[in-house]
Parts: sequence; structure tokens; C-alpha cells
Amino acid sequence: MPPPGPPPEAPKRSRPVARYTPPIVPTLLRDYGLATRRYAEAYLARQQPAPYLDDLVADYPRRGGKMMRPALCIAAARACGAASADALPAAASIELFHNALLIHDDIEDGSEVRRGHPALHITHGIPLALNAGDALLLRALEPLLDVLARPGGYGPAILAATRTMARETVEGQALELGWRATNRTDLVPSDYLTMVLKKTAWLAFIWPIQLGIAVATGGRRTIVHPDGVVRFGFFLGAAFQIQDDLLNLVADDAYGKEWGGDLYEAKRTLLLIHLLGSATGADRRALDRFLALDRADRTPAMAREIASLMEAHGSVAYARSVALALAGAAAHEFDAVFGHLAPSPDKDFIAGLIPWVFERT
Amino acid sequence: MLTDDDYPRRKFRPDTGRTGSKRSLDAFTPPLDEPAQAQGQGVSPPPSPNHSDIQTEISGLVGEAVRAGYDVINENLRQGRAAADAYSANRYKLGEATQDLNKLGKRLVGLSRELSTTWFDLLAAAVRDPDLQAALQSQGHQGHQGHQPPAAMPPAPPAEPVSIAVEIRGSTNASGTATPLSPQARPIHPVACALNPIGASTDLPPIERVGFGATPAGGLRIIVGVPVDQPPGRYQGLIVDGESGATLSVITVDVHA
Repeated sequence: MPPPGPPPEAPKRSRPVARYTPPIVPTLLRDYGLATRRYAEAYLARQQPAPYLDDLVADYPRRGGKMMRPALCIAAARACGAASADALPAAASIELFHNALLIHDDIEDGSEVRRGHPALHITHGIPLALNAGDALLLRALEPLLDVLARPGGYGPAILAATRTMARETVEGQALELGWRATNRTDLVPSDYLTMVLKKTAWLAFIWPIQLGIAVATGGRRTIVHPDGVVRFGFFLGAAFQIQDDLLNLVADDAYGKEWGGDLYEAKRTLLLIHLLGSATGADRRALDRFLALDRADRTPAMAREIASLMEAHGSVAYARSVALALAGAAAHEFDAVFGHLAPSPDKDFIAGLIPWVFERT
Repeated sequence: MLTDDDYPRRKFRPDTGRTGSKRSLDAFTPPLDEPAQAQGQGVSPPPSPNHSDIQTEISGLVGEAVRAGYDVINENLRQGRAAADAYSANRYKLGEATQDLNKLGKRLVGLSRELSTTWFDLLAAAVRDPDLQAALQSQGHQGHQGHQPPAAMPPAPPAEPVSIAVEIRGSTNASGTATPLSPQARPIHPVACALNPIGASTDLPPIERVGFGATPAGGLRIIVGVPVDQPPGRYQGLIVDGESGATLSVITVDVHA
């Protein structure tokens, strides 16, 4: 029998979250996003583009996007005392890496739309899209390679953070794909949160902040508590992902993805996990039949019926409430991690991402 | 309710009939600037007058989800600390060192294959290898347009390998050597691994007491504690960089009959 562990930590008090996104958030998303895009473009543009490759590699990055990840990296660096220019290589690498994974994710998920346009594998086929994703994954390395040679570089800290992020991300993606491949119906919220920590939070929030801090400190000083960064990134990432799952049920053109894509793909979202735990009788049988089908066999009528069941069984309300509660936890962690830093627009930006999670399209 | 007739093979997806966006904060969430209603409960669920029974249930479930969130992140951090501890010199269980490093190496190889074959090889090499850094400086921007070259190279490290003295304590029938330490461009954090038997006698007990000291001239000295009853044979172990896992030196100890 294993020795008794410490009692579970009581959930910390959720602090109120600012209701509206402060103006600094869209401002810095635009400014830092534009600077990152320009910097990354130098790694996408080729004087003699390779046929069937370079145009595909540059496709997703040039479609735009919210640029949240690179902006968060730059803001974290500046909040800790670095200059924007010093953080641009890391920010560009983050954005390119994110786009490379999107190419592969769209193939793995069978997604048809990305940022309002057909997914790359829809327009060019899976083999070419896969190859472009591989190439972009390598291209994402180049900005970091260029700065690793600088004196006083932050290479070891960035390498350690990147290694961890990469491991967590692929493990998270494997969990999600594996659950669908094996039609798991016994999952609980903690399973979902574990998957979200790995698949979403590490790449989207924890890693960008870690890289920004590494740029500012060279990995040699401790300005903010590293565990606190992980906690903050996790709670914000979990709220972000749940909200993304909810947006998928009300998607329109601004969302840039297809309505109900998560349902068609039978993604084990928090909504679906709640419904699996709540639905009984005929509702549960209908849900089980739906999940047992292949993606191509799931019709719009079926998807909308499952969405209706989610509403009727309170799964949507539950997911909304959990997202808000986790956002409250993120706000609590933000105070613990960044509260001692001097006031700055960048610090406000990071805090402002918490309500922004719920306002983004 | 779904019936079996609803399950023909899907060929085309009809228009979804989208209307305007519903994704304002007000549409999705209750007022966020109201204080959390109860400790550990997060915020209250949004109004849903037709599902009051569900509301009550949700209040409890949300608290459980937040608690699960803290459990998940605490466990992740605990695992991270345990991994870090395993590679710190103070808490390293010397007998498991070589095996753990092998596992780490295999895991990194597998990981790099999952992402790309060169990501981490190149990163690790760029961090450690001054020659590669110089090459990157001169070659790194070919093919890029409008990008400023990086700053100058850091000062070159000493060119000559540094010898490492090996001091044997305990047994008087043992002698040892260590391969010279290659010049390092960056500070290192040497970690000593246990010395395992090599050759035909691999079932012999390892030599686990390996420590560090300094020579009078300020050089590095490896102190190996060889038990007086250590079976004769040849034993080898590694000095590795605790941060990168790179091998710094190989220690060889011969225990004579």
C-alpha cells in the first residue's frame, strides 16, 4: 500500500477577473504581432522559392492569426526588463513553430478550415502538407539558431524550456488522438485538464512566457518564480481551451473554423466529458452510437443533436463556469507571479489576456 | 432523439446557416467583476432558469474541476521537481546514474524524432560547440532577406584539454585515470556517475563513491572511494554536465588482485 500523501491542496480563492479586456491587449497584439510577422517573414521569404514547398510553408503564417503567443513572449521579456528587439527571434520561432504544428494538427484532426480558408491539406493534399509542416518545423528553429551564437546568450535556458514544451505538447496531442482512436468514454475532468496542460497550455502560454523571461535574464537570474509561471500558464491555458471548445459550438466566419468541428471529430472536450457523465438512457445510447461512428459518417443532424444534448444536460453551462473559475485561478496566480514587477503596459497586457480569453473571436 | 435512420454515410456537409456572432463576453459569461461567490467554488454558473436543478449540480462540479486543476498542476510540478532532483549532484543515486542517463538519451532521441530529426541536435550543438556557433554566425543568414546578422562571437575558450587527476581512497590495490576535459564554451555543472564494471565481469558491484576535489594548482580532481573488498576488475564511469547531459570525461579505475 502506498504511503499516504499530503492532503490535497484546497482550491485557492478565485479573485474577480476584470470584466473587459483592457485596450492595451489589442494594441500590443497588433504591435508585437506586426513586429513578429515582419521578423519571421525574413525566414519565410526565399529569393528562389522551392516548388511545391516554400509557398506552402509560408501559407499559414501569412494568413495572420491573433499572434497571442509571440506577443506574450515579448511582453514577458519587456516586463522583466528586456528590449522588444531582443525577444523578436524567440517570438518569431514561437509563431512559426505554432503554425507548423497547426498544419499537422489539421491533418490529424481532419479539419477543413483554418483561419477562414481551406486547410493546407485540403488545398494541396496530405503528402505535400505534411512535408510543408516538417519544413516549417525546421524553419522555426532558424531564428533561435541565429541568436544562440550571440555572447551572453540564453541558449541553455531556451533549450531546456523548448525541450520540455516539445515533450509536453506531443504527449498532450497523443492523449487527445489516442482517446478518440480508442473511443474512450470513461474520462473525467482531471483527465481533460491534464491533456489541456500538455497540449495547449505549454505551447500557448507557458513556453512563450518562459522564453521571454529567459531573454530578459539569460536564464541566470530568477525574476519570477518558475513554478508560478507554469501555474499561471496552465490555468489561463485551460480557460482558453475550454472557451475555444465553446466557441466551436457557436462558430461563425470570424471564428475561422467550421462549426462543430470538435463534435464531428468527437474530441474529448470538457463538454463531451460532462455529457458522458450526465446522459442516461436513450440520450446516452445516442451519444454512444455517435461516438462509435467514423468521422465521415457523423452527419450535421447528429452533431446538432449532440450539441442540443450538451445544452439540455448542462454541459455548456458547466464548461462556461469551469472556464470562468479557472480564469479566476489564473488571476490569482498572476498576482503571485508577476505582482511584484513594476507597473508597465506589458504587465497589464499579460493580466489583460485573462478577460481577453473570453472576448476573442 | 437520434434514430438509426439518422446514420447514413455522410457525403456532403450542408450550409450551417450561421448567423451573427454570439461571442461577446456578456453572451457567454456572467459579470466577471463580481466577487467569486464562495471560496473554492470559482464563480457562479450563468443564469439558466430552465435548468435550476442542473445549476445546483454544476456549482459543486465546478469546485471539483478547479480542485482537479490544482491537483493536475501540482502533480506536474512535482514530477518536474523530481526529475530535476534526479539530476542534481546532491541527491543523485549514483548506482542508477548510467542507467538514467541512457534513458534520458533514448527519450531525447525519440522526442527529436517526433518533432524533427534535427531540432534538438542542432540546438544542443549550437549551445555547446564554439565552432558551430562561428559557422552559424557566418552562414546563418544565407537565404534570409532583410535580416540583421547577430553580434560578435564570445571569446574563444582555452584550446587545450584540461587534465583531470584521479585520487583513490580506501583500497590500496586500485589505480585510476580520467580522460582530459575538453574546453567548454560555457560554465558546466559536472555530475559524477557510478563506476560500473566492464569487460567479462559485469556482475561485479559498482563503485558508487565518486566525488570532486581540487588540485593544489586549482585543477579538477576526481576522488573515488574504492572499498577494500572491491572485487578486482576494470570499472568505468562518466562525468557529465548536469544541465545538458553531455559527457565531459570518462573515469577508469583498475582494481588489482
